[in-house]
Amino acid sequence: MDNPYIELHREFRAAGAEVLLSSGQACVVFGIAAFSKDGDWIVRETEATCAAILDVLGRHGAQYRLGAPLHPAWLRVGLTSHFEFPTTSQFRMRTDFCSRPPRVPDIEGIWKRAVRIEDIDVVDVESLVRLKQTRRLRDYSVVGALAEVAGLGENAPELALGYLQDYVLLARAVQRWPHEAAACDREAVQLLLKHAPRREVVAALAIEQDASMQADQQRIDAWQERIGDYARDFARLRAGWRRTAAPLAQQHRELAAVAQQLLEAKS
Amino acid sequence: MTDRDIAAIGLRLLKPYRIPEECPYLSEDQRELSELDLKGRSAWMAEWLLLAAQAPRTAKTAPSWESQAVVSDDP
Repeated sequence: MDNPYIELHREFRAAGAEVLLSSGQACVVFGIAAFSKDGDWIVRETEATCAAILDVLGRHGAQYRLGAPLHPAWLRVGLTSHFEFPTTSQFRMRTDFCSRPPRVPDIEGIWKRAVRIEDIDVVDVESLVRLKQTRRLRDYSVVGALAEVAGLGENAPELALGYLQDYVLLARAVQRWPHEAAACDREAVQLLLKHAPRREVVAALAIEQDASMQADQQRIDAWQERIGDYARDFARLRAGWRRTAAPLAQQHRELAAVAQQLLEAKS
Repeated sequence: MTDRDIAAIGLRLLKPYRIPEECPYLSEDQRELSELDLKGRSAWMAEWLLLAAQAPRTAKTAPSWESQAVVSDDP
């Protein structure tokens, strides 16, 4: 049996959608995460891609979860779309889509650097590292792991010096690449170059991590303030969809009408 | 590092590789996973999802829509 999220990825491709496997499932295919319960994709900001994804999800009997309608109008302001559907194997597939992942401003670069093999398309390691710098502490193990296997392991100083999260490996990277380290703007790297005490380097790493977590939390808080009563309006819509077993195409139309407020909130 | 370099690193990580023993971030599970090819990793994930679906729920979990933000924290 194949990973059902990879099977779904193939269905998206076959339907003509331009999609990149991202976040947790990308970590699984890169071999550094043992498990991820949902599937995240970065998608092209086109009507054709959105329609193709909705068509595939509609055939699976998917329902919208709280989020924006899957359409370029909402994707281009940085919003995300969320769905779920049950499978015959007893688990619930959860799928999330965005076109402008946080902390990765070079959208075209994401598509240029995409990793493509057989019938899988995955976000590149550097973008993955950046988008994993979230408000959640556990994601920094992923950041460090990617920096180790892709940076130290694959001889890429930018990744190792830029993203390693612990003293021992970062010290090793600074020793291996002193010239690149001199040009690195991370405080922990500069302290290592000055042979500062270990506790100062560790403190710099912790402060940096906390700053990243706070920045992500502030990004989410700012959106939550802007969206007003949308969550309540969505819950009302969803209750109706459940009562009537509304097909996804109908859900999409009704959600798009209610979600206009999200576009107005942004402007 | 060029776009091609970074894509090439990703391609190599899709093939079996060995995570160093002293890696502080990863467990035996990931070491085993990284040594599999893409097909093996796909089967591994499928097995985990099945096990997770069959496991009894012991902790209270919020309905999915309540725990989600309109702007994702997990892109």
